[in-house]
Amino acid sequence: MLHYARPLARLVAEFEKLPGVGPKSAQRLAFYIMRLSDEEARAFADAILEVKAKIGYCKVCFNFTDQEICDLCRDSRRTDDLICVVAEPRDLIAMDKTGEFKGKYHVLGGVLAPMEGIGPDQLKIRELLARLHAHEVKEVILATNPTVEGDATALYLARLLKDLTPRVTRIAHGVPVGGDLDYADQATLIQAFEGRREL
Amino acid sequence: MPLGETDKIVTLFAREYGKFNIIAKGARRTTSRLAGATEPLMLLKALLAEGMNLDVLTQCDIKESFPAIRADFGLYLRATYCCELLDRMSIERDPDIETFDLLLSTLYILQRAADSDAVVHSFELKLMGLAGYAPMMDACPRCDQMFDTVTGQDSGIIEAAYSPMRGGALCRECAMATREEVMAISPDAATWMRRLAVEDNARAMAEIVLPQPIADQLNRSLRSHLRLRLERDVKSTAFLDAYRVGAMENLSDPLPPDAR
Ligand SMILES: [Zn+2]
Ligand SMILES: [Zn+2]
Repeated sequence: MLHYARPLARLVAEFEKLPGVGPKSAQRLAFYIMRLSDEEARAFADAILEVKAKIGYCKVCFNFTDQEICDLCRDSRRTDDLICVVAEPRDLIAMDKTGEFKGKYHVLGGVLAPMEGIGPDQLKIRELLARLHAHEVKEVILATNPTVEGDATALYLARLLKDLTPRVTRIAHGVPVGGDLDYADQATLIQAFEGRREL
Repeated sequence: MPLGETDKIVTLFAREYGKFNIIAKGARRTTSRLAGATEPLMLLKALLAEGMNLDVLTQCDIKESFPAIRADFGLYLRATYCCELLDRMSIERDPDIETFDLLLSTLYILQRAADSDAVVHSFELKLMGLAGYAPMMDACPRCDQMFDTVTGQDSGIIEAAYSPMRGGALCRECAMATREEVMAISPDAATWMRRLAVEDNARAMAEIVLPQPIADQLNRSLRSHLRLRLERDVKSTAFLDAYRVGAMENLSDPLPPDAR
């Protein structure tokens, strides 16, 4: 890193912090930025600052939003009778792209991972319970990833929720064990949704 | 090798090679055959290729996936705890066949255990034994008098307390005389501790049920013993404790709507 001028070294170091970016790619990205016009560079920097300043979590479902309550939660064509529980905002996006689900979502913000110190208090589980207490929901669909940790989270939630809602289901494992919902193709996700089973 | 966003870094514990990290290329894709295999609690037959920094997992067969553990949240927490404890206590690339076999048999026994906490305590005691940290249970570590382990409480020297600092059970006299932190342990609990440390019959192990007061004593003294030797907490312990007392389900007392 010594051969870079200090500001360039700083940019390379920032890129290297991004997921999946190694030293070579970081260098490539930094050199790309160097070739941008001033306006282009400013637009890029502004986009980063704006997303940090304006995007927060929806107060109801904890999806990303630039409002108090997100568009999905305010959409009156979606029923309040169904809540689909996912681990991350990207899982919500993957699920919603299928167009199969017409209810509301709840984003946990992760899965239970005892070895990493992530327990129920670190996830938006209390908030999910509050939603179920606030008004009756006919079915809660647990759509955490079909990984060991995703399954364990679903098992835990199924027990926790069984007295709060008449039906708790888990999406079918058309998704192969161990994968992320994010990378599952649409057809697989639709099948997983249709084949959900009661827990 | 750069880590792509569909790649996973996974810690393997191999019978002949010990603990080390590997890269599983593309294992985050649901279509990858490595996806399921690189999950926690999988027994694999794996083929590795030497990489620049980390070895790369090229091929593997799942030999066992412990379905009964995955289907039960309580067992899952206990199995996770055993793996984390082993991770904390092992050194990279230090071949340790006995520890490997201990973990494997513990996972199998957990699947049909009458009392999963007894299995976990047995694992803790045996693992510490292999690492040279076993609690001293034959004689008082303060005055060196041998305990009367045959006749129990009726005569002779008996265990009255557990000293995490000294790593063993203290006799009644020493327990009264010392100022260090001690915790109550009955001769019965000490007898169970000695048995759990050596019980190597899987069937017998699976049938053991610890009486609640004994389980509480073992839990407290082993926790404290481990914390002093590892010099930090094992993260999954907190969840296991919360689960044991049912605190993980007390969440059903929700936040008031205005506090959201
Ligand atoms: Zn929302
Ligand atoms: Zn003594």
